[in-house]
Amino acid sequence: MSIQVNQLSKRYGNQWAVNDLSFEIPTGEIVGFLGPNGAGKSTTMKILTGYIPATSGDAVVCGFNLNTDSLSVRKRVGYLPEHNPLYLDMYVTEYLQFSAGMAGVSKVKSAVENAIELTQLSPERNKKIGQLSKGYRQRVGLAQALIHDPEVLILDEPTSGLDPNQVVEMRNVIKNLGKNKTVLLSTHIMQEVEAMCSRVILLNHGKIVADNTLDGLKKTSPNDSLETIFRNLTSHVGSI
Amino acid sequence: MWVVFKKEIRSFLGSFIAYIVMGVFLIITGIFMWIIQENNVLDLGIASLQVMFNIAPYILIFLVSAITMRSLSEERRLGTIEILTTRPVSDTSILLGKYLAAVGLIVSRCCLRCFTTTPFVSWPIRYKALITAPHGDRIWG
Repeated sequence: MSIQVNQLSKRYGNQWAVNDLSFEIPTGEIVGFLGPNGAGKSTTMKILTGYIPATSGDAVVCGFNLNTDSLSVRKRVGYLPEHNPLYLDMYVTEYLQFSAGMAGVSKVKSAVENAIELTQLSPERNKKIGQLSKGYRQRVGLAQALIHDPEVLILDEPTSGLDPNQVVEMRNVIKNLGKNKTVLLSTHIMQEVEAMCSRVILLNHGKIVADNTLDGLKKTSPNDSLETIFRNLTSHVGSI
Repeated sequence: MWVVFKKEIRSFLGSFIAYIVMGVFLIITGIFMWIIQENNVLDLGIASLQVMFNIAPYILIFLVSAITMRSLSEERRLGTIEILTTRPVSDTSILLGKYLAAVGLIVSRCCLRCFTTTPFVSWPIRYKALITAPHGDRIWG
């Protein structure tokens, strides 16, 4: 198991962002994290990467418990945060070298080359990040996430704000990565999930409302499109 | 820690503000040393940096904060703090790297002040001693 989440909860003030979440993701699966805005997708991802602590419950990533051994988890996880924050005044290679150093990579140069190749960044590698288009910035974010060849990739809305061509390219990159890594990605676009994921975890108000393979989810109501299923599962006003 | 340190130094020296801040420091201390104060170097006729050390703390109060105040809040504003803290690096070493970078920058700037000033302070005064008349009258200055 790459990721095991057990009764995870996170509370902001008196609001539960994530409420009693439990799921498991085996190695080598691409899982889509779905849900409307504010469902708790990003919060869960932030907890799984060790950015914020959970209020209660625990999570085990790559065999290490996040509460006790967060550094070991972080060594094995690559994370692309929501909105893809970057240092805009850094050069692409400079930034990737910095990321590699931060990730504790021993062979920085080859790691950077590898990441640039995987994300097809080479035409823009000598530019400043601030000069890049959104699609390339997103690739820099992805390159930064996989610079240390992590076992698990956690990508928060990797395709948001990209044009249709870039979306397709990004999907292909992620799909290729998913061949030998566990990928957990969040989105609220159904086509995204159909194109990339083998399994869907649907969240609403911090709780899991569906956890199924894509085919399994379609079978629950064969006449409806995935959008309709999504709407049916998440549109009712849930009580917290 | 040294990765953060290196990045901080590079990003500081790569920004335009760095040179403005440094320039302001050099100009202000320069003005005080040579022009404004009653006991400025020329009037005193002593090759001493005392004046600079007297006023430097007050200027540094502002310039140190100009350097350091952005280092963490900027990460937070850009969201890059999320990337920093999800790397296998402890919070302590991130903070230590940033702190040491700021200390290093300020110390090196003070050294710069001393090194750039010394030749300009000591040479003219030595020269002045040579051309001063034996009975002590000043020929110039």
